[in-house]
Amino acid sequence: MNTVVETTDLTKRFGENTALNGLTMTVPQGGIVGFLGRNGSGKSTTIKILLDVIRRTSGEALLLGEPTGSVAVRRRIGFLGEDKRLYPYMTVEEIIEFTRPFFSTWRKETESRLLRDFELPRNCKVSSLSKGMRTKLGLLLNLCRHAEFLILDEPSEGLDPVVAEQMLQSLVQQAADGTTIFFSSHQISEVEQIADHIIVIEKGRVILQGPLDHVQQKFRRINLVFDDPPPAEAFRVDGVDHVSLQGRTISILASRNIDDIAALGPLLAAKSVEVQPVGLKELFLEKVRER
Amino acid sequence: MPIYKVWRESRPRFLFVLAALLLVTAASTFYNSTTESVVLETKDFHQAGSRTFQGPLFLFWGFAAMFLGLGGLLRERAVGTVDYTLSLPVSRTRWFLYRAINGALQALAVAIVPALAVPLFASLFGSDYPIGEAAIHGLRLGIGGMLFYSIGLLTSSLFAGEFTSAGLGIALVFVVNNSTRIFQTLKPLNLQDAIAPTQMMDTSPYLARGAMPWTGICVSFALSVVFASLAWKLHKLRDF
Repeated sequence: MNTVVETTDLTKRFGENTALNGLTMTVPQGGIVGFLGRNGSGKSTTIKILLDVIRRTSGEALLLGEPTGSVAVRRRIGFLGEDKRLYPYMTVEEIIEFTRPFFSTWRKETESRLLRDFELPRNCKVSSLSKGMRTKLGLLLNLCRHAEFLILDEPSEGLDPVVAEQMLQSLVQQAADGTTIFFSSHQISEVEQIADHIIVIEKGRVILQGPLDHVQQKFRRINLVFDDPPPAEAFRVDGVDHVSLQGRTISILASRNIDDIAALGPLLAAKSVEVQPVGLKELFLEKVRER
Repeated sequence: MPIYKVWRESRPRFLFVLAALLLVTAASTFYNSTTESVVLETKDFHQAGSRTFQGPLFLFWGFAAMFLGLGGLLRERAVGTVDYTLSLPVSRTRWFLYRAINGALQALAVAIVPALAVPLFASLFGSDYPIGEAAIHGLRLGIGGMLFYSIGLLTSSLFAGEFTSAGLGIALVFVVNNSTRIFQTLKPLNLQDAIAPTQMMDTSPYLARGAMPWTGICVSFALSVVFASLAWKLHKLRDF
């Protein structure tokens, strides 16, 4: 499998505070990768290290096979930050003309199409654009360069649903054209909507990663109802990720041996056993809660 | 490309500083020309011009040069554009280099242009001031006083706030300048004296006749290179 990002034991400390604590992750080439985590989990720190905006304390980080900070690599990537801040003193046209010469792969026809589709006012100063319009401009600046790899930090943050949907569709279109998209988000629904692959981090470490459909197929929720107080300890077996007890019901999140775990129910006098698929939101909450 | 960005970013600051210094130069020249008896009697602007170069233009240019040294990646972090800047295929060193050169040229321009305006102001008063003389004073100020600019460059690499950087730079210059006036042993560190045209002036026509204060200019310029190198090192190493 070709990879666009590879980090090994990546650590970043800000004084006493550890933002990344041995982060090891792989972003496969092609498709859309959702990068999930709570506030302060280390998502933005990871992205900033990939862009060489901040320097790692230890560990390794490779971007398109080269160490982060390589100018040559930055010709092949795009980035859209959470705030979508762009140079306020330039007009829309000026910032496009400023960015274009950096990228030999720039597509003029994409630029014209997106200027039209996004209804961006060419002579308007960036400082007078709304956040939604800045997002569209940021997208245009990134999509036109036809980058191999596009990094987006909370791209839908603060956008109205119409602009957010327009942005997601643009990303899907770009991924179809061969760009690998890596985007961090709090919006699990949008990750579920467009991502092929997910990486979940918590406290600076990866707690879950893999193809989205594989992850969703792998995990199951097993609910068991008992007449008597349930024997929760008996379910702490191989494959069980989390056990919770609510009255006479045991709820188990399992990633392996699903059938064996479910089969324990009748043996331990469970009144009913129900095996259900797990949604990404539920899985995320369980995984984060575990820690 | 990068130079376009650093120019666009600094343009309002540069134009503001240039306008302010032209105003200061005009005010000082006209003030001196109306209060100095030698000027009033002979319509000779030489002394008025010379006083402007040594006094207000030096002082205001020093602050202005420091002001022109502000900005950069740390400031961009404060306004939120640094991620976009550093995601472009330009190294931190190149960004710094372009900004430093752009700012240095602007600092030089705001020394030379007001200096060259003195002959113009003189002619408006029906008198004259040699253009070559004005150019020499402008160059001396711009090159010898580059230390002020590099202090701005250095403080802006340490503090994101423009007011913090400027305030600290001004405080530093103020402390050093006053110390050199109070403590005789520190006298050689006074930049105004080190690059002042006193030794090159012939007080009769109030024109430069002696040698340029090369030692002071070279020491000051070398120090500014050291400060700029420190600022570059900080840009290379720090997190944004």
